Amino acid sequence: MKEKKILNIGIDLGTSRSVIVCDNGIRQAIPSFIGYPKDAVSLKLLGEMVYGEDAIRHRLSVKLYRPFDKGVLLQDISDKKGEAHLKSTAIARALLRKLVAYAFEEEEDDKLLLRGVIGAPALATQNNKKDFLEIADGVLDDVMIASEPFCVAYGMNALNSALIVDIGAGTTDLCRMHGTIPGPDDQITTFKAGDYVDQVFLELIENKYKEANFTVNMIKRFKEENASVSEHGEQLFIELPIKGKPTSCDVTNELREACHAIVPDIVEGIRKLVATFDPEFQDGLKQNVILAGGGSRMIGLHKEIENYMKKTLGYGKVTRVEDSLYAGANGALMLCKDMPDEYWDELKKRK
Amino acid sequence: MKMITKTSDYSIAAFEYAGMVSFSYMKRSGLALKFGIIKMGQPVKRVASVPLDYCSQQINKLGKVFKRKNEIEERLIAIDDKLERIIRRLADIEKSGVVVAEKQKSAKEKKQIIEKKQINAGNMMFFKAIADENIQLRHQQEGNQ
Repeated sequence: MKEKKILNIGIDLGTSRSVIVCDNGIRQAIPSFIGYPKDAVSLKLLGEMVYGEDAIRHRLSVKLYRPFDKGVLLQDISDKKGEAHLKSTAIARALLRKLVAYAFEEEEDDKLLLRGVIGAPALATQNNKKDFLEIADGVLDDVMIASEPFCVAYGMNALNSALIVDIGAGTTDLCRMHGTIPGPDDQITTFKAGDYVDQVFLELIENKYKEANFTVNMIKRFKEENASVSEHGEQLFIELPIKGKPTSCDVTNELREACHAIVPDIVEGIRKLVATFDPEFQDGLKQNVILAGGGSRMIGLHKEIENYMKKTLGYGKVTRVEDSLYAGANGALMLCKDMPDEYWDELKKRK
Repeated sequence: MKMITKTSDYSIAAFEYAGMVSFSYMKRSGLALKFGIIKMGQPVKRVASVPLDYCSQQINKLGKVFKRKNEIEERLIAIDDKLERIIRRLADIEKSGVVVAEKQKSAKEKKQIIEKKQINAGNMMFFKAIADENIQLRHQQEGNQ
């Protein structure tokens, strides 16, 4: 029998964006949204499902779903029968299937063995991780789950004396690397991340421009393009409809304040991880704080964290990964490629 | 004066008449000649046209080739796009630290590479820990089912 060609894949299923990186060079990031048509007209127009940007664009004619919340599969506590869980799993699986379809874009050989590593938030529970396995069932042939900040560290070869801060939409994961697999004590997750910034920004604009009519989606896009915590940035104006007329509104201070809202928690997390570490190695951690994730693209964020660290810890050196959006998936891909075959085989036996 | 005008009119009419008669003779003789030549030339034409027909067929085929030129150009553009994408992806791979093979390896060498990954011994404990955790997760999943 002809042996199947192995395609290694690194996946980051994020609250806001999902990313896939494959060893055939395919890299793709799409917003983690899926839309199902509301009626027969939209069904004819859009088809059975729309994904990512298309789903957001047609949000008025589709039921829009975001399968992940705070980095893990959307949970509904009131859901006793588990129907909502099944639905969320199916939606997340559809999203993953769409992502994996990008991997075949250039592949002529359809006899591929899909091997993937999926990044999970630092403090995801066993159940959360099992959800990821369930999502990947039937989409990937072999799958492993690994901590997202660990994937970032692995991708950057920063497995020792490094502190990874992965700022996503739902969570900010902090993880100290000291040459072993990080345990629960080495990781902190805060829920002040990109979505929290959006919420604060929305409230601040609502307070300043009471008559303006806008949605969180409108300001989210603006934030993604202009997010900054720098005091020396240019003035920022957003066009918002006031009584139906597009009006230019100055939101410089509001955006800066909103972006700033996540900084104290991040620094407090860094402080805790440094303070509870072996005193002889604390300096090493302080000197190597690495920012990753979509949130790390805020202009001036690394300088701001450095300043806070100087105040609270006396010293701090913060750097930002170059490819922030893909850093987690890149690391997951490298992990997938480097993982010895015998471990993959062993995993397969247990399936 | 009247006589001079009449004389000139008659001479013009005579000249026109002479012209028409000579044109008629020429036309009729020309037609007669044409029919004669066609009748005589038909068998010759049939034989002589064979190589000419062949040539015209070849020229038509050549024309089709030029018509196909557009399709070929489209294909070339698609190949160019594909190459550009490949170059872009290679740049991405190089940027992400994945090493691109420097030269084409023989099938035997390739097989050896597939069979044995180069594993960094220092990272083995990470791999083992991650694999163990995932095996445990599978166990729990089976238990739940």
